[in-house]
Amino acid sequence: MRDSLRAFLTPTTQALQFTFKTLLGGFVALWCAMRFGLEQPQWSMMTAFIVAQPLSGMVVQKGLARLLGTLVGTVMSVVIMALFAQAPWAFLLSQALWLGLCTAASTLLRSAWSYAFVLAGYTVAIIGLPAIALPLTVFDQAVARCTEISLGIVCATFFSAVLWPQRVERQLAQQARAAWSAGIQTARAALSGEAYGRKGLLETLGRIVAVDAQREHAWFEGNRGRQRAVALRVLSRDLLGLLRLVRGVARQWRQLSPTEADSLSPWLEDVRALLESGERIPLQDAFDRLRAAAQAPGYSASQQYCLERLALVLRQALAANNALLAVERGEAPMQAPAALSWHRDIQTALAYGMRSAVAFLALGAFWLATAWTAASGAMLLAAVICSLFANRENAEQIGLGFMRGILYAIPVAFVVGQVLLPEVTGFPMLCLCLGVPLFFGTLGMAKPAIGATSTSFCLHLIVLSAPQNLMHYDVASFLNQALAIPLGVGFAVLVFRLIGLRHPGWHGRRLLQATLRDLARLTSRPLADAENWFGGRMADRLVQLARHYPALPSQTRSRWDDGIAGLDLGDELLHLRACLAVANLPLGDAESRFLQTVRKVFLVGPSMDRQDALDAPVEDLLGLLEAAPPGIERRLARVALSHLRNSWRQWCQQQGGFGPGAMAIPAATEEGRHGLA
Amino acid sequence: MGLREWALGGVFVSPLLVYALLALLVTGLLRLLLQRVGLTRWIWHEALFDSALYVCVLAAVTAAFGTW
Repeated sequence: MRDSLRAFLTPTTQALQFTFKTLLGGFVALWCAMRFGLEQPQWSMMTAFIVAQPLSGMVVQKGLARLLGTLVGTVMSVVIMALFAQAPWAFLLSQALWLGLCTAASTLLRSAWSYAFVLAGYTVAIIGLPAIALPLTVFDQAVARCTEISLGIVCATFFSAVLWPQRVERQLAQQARAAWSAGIQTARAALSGEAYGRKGLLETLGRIVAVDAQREHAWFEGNRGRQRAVALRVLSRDLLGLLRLVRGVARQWRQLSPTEADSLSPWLEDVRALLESGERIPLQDAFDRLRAAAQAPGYSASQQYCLERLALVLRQALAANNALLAVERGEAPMQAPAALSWHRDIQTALAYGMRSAVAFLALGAFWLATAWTAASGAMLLAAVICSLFANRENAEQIGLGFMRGILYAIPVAFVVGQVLLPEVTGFPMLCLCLGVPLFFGTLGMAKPAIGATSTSFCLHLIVLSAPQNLMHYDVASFLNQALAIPLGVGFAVLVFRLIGLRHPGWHGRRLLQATLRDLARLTSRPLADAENWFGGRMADRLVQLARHYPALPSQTRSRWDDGIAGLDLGDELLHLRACLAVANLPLGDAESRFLQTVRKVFLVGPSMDRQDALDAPVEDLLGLLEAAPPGIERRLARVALSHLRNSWRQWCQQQGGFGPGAMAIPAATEEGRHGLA
Repeated sequence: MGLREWALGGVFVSPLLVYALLALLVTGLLRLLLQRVGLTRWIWHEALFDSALYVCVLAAVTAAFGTW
């Protein structure tokens, strides 16, 4: 049996529960809206279907975002109508501008709250366009839409919280454990120098980013959800820190001669085994033993550095274990860091916004030129799709899936709305007529692969059959709508295809520039939040770079290497700043002068002729450290300094046109072979 | 056929709608043909080419049927 067919014929229990909840929420919302005599009760029902999601925290979050966006959009629509009711072009231009700005803001904000911006954008069109013929009714329409949407949200939230609630925060604990174990596996792989590193690193980063995205939803699930959300911020920081330290050990390990490496490998094996077991007391013991061994006279300087860095890995692993326990117990630790930061790009976001505005204006021109009343429906749909899916990788596919749902909904809505409903009276019969097709549609919504198509089917079935207290059946208006809606979606897909904003070369360059800017800012950022700030942004960027990896083999390959080199540099800089902060050495203003120089060097970026740009400042600071009183932190700071210089040098050499596979220097070739290169 | 509305069971259908659907069909066929012949690889921006081709075909169809 085909997979999509199975979703309808042999649904899982969870899908059935979801369907039941959604249908109940939708129909109760419809009943209330009809009972209260609201103007367009179908909006309440649609909202209940739109915010319906499997997990209850998500429903609350999406509902709140929708409500917030609708409120802002409503106010804006009244303002625009008040200003430009008599000037259609000014009216359309201002709406397009607002839509563009909101789309830009929603693509800039990489969180579930971006949905609020999407809503603020297209609510203006939803309220403004039908009201343009009768500008004085805009206030009534605005109030009606707000009421209907709030009603839908309340009903959907109530039923998703009361009936078989599935909580995000419980899944959060499982996902956090999965992220933790992925992190530990990557750390182990990196310590043994396996070539598996790139995939492992990406998987771990992807998991950390994915769990973090759930954090916002857990916030709405009571006190424990909130505690877990806070604990998760600590876990992300500790996991990112663990990856950073492990990569640091791998870099130091590569500087050992084979005999030196051989004598240290029992330690390495020990650490790998300990990471796997993850038990608290042995980890603490091993940390003490390693610290003691690093002071022992038998080892060379680079061996000592290696052991000291290994000890730090153990301490970080201990912290990560504690953070995981805190997430699982639902206890927020004190002094949690700020949340994971994301890669942001205003220029790209503005381009997305401009695309939405252009699509809206083009259809607006079509509307004014043809004077076809139903064309405003097409504008609405194009606005919704362009802003909702603006920055999705597969926006065209989602748009076409949406179109398919509409094409299924049209004949069904014709039968239900024009043939069956005129024959029946009363709410129960209405539920029966609408409920049967919606039941199957909702079953499809529970399956992600056909989610877009099914959601679109349900929504357009409701729109096209338009259940109201006083039904009016009008075949001509149905046909007009049935034409306008696919036209709008088709136009949106066309715009997605015509104005493609995903050119890998350009995208890669933007990512590199953003990395350089962040590296420069890392020199002055407060240390407490720096890990989540830099790590989160770099994780986001690397995941994006990896996605473009197969697209352009030679170029993106070097983009990926640029990303990793940036991550290495940032890691060493963070490590150096942490060591200097702990050591509390009497360096005077030498440290801030050094950081200033580094900042300037990073801002210019790597190139072949700037290989030794960091040499002089590093030598100066090394000299000062030499004179400082001895201690572990001082030694670690010195190692970090020399690694900082080496990483910069290697990055500059990468720019020299050697393919990454054919690096000139042996160290870099080794790095190429090594897993985490 | 001209540029007058069609009466389909009491529903008036704009002739341009019919021409637009016809042009969509013809454009699809032309694209398949181009693909078969191997001319597709000379196209720089496929979506742009498709849109332009569609506009040309629509104009041709309207000119051809509209004057009858």
